Amino acid sequence: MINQHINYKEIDNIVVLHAENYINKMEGENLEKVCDAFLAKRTYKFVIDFSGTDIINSIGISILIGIIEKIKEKKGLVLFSGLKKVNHDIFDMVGLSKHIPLLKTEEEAVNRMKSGQ
Amino acid sequence: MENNAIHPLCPEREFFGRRREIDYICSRATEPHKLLPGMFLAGKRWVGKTEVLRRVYQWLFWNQAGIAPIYYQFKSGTLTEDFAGEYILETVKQCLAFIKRDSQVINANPTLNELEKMLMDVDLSVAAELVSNYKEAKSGGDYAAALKNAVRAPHILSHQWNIPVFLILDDTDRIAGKGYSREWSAIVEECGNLLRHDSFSFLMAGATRRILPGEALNGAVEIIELAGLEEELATSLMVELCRHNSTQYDREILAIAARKLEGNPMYLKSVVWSASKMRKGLLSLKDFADVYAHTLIDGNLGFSLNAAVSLETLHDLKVLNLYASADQENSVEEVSTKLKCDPDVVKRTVDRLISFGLLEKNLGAIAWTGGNVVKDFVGYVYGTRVAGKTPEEIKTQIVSKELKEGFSVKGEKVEGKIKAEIIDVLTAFSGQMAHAALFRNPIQASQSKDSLYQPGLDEKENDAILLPQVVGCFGSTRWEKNESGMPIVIANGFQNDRYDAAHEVFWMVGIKESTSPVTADEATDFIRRSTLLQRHFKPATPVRWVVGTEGFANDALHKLAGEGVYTTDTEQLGMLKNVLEHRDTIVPPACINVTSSNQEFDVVLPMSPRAELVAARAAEEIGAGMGFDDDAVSRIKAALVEACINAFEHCKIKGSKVYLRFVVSDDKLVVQVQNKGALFDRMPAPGSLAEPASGLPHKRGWGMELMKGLMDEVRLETLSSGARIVLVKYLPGKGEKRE
Repeated sequence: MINQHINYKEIDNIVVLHAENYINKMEGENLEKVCDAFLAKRTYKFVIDFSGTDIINSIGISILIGIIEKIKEKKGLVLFSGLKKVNHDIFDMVGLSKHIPLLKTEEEAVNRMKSGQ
Repeated sequence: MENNAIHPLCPEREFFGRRREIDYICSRATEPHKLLPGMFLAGKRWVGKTEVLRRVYQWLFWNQAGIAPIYYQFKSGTLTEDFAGEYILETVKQCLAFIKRDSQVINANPTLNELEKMLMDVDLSVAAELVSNYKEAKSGGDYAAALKNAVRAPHILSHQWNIPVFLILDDTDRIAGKGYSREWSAIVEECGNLLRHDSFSFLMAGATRRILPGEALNGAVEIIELAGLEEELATSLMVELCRHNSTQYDREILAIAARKLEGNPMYLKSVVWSASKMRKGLLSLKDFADVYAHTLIDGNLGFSLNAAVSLETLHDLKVLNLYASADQENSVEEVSTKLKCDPDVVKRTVDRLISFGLLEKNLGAIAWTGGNVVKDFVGYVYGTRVAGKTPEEIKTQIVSKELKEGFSVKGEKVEGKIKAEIIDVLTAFSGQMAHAALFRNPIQASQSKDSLYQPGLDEKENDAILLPQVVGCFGSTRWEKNESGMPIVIANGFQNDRYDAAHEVFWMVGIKESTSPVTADEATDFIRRSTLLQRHFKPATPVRWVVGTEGFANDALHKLAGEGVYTTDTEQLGMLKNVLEHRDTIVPPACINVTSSNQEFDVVLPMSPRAELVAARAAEEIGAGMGFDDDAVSRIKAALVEACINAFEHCKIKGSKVYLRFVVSDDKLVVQVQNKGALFDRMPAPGSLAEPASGLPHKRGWGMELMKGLMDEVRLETLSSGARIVLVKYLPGKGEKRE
């Protein structure tokens, strides 16, 4: 069963997840559960939108890295969008931006996913 | 122990600090082969000798079977013939009790006739015969034979029963004092003959080291000195007595009283009992002085001393007062000259006083050994009987003297206390920032010249001092032979987490522990000595600091400030200690005049989910108010959330809290996050967070790296009761990011 606490939608076989305002251990795990559930349903394309997210703590980051690992293991795709500057900088600091495309908006991310670039 | 006591013992709650002596005597008494036949317990009157002897007896009676203990206490005013009867009765009944392992034989207090019958009943014919012979000699008027029979009783019993006797003789100075009469000389001689015999060992006790007249035993016994209780034990005894008597007390005052009363249990008890009787507490020096004067003049102490210091003539009193009030030794000839009297008369008096343990003769010179309390009592008796003073006058003098002495002792006691406090404070230094106001004793307003102050090298900002990480403290005496003046403590440490010579710091701390402020001369002396020490140690960063418990004279402050020496008084030290040990945040209290316009906000977080967001919200409000832009505020929030998570994670104390302090200044925001647990995550080593083989970043260990990336400065500090992380963010254009 897909976690109902996470705001998500499916667009052309792409799952768009809207992250909470604060990504800590609990919120990170909620995201992970949703992803796990879609991966189990053989859905492998994800956009995680952080436009509503003010703070991502280091535990949240570790969980996000775990999510990326799982998607990549399934040969899936994941894009991040809507990052505020501080969170963008944080992803730069930990080196995530080298592995995951960071797009300005959810729309951009979905379009890029659709185009398969 | 008092439950099965054979001879009366004081209650356990009032028995303090003699275990070591008792254990030693018992072990010596039960040794199979003794090098010396006996022991002599020497100590002033009422110091607790009897209690030790009775407890030794008690232990030997119940806990071993190899030697038969016999206890006898000499009494004042006993006639020779009465002594013989009492002595043989005690000796034989205690032996019988020991053989039968029945203390009731002693407690039943049988007469000689009853005892003789008891001995016959258990077929102890030798002992019965001993009693019979004594009775026969006494009834025939042959007191010498009766006495000899009595004194030899332990020896005869020991020989015939084949059980060695351990003879315990209490208050032997009482027979020494009686040694002038022919009858008592006979007793002493008999005792001496007996004690020199190899067949048994003994323990004697007396107030004078002169064991028996003629000093027949000197050199053949082991002398054990029994001094007054040590101050801590004596204080504990007084505390216990005060509690038992519902007397209010201040422990520090009791400690001063304990010292004054020489740790003598009887004096200590007398004072507490008097306080209880007077319905007075022992809460101040004045309380103690009043109670002491009362008990010495009108109370139990005076009554006991009057009985003990047996003065037969006015001449005796004059001699006694002369020795008591003299500050040096006096020979008999000197005293006879001063008192204009016959040397032989003085000599007789002196001999009597020596036998009371009030004087001691050493190579012809005679000195007072009676102690301060007896000295006060003698002063009172002399003052009223000879000098014509009234008791009230003497009482006033005693109270006044006690207040002065007590005040002086209090000052001395503060010394050790403050020095220990300073060492505690120094060892708690661990790279914190401390407000400079705690190290600058204010110069009085009329003379204030801030320009005189030359900031030390470790003064980071106008209002803060970077404390070193102190690794140890030691005194300066080894390097300052023949120097006098205030003691100097040296603290050795490092700065900025860099443990090399360039960052080594020496704090030289002068401590003026007195009831007067630091003077200009003392300041000059400290500057001179600390300069010499500085030359010796050659530290990269020398810091000089003077702590004056009563503050500083203005000219001293000018001298010290001119040399860049930190100055702290007791109040400031207390504040520093408080913030180091309890609050762990180095901030100036409101009462210190701080010129800075700093604002501080404290936030306390419980360890509950998402509590870190409260801190983030506070940072948002404060940061925005300071003029940080949205991005900077977001970075502060994110870093602060990391610091809080870290603090929660490493706080091992259940129910503990995380303490935050936001320090707002013109150019920066400093946030201190502090827990009561272990260290925070250390700074990651360079390259330690390199990507694993999967190509993705490491999952954990990013907290510290993020904080460093988000803030301008991040510092970790170890505190005595936890750890602290300090985050600093500079306002653009007003401060610099420091690498």
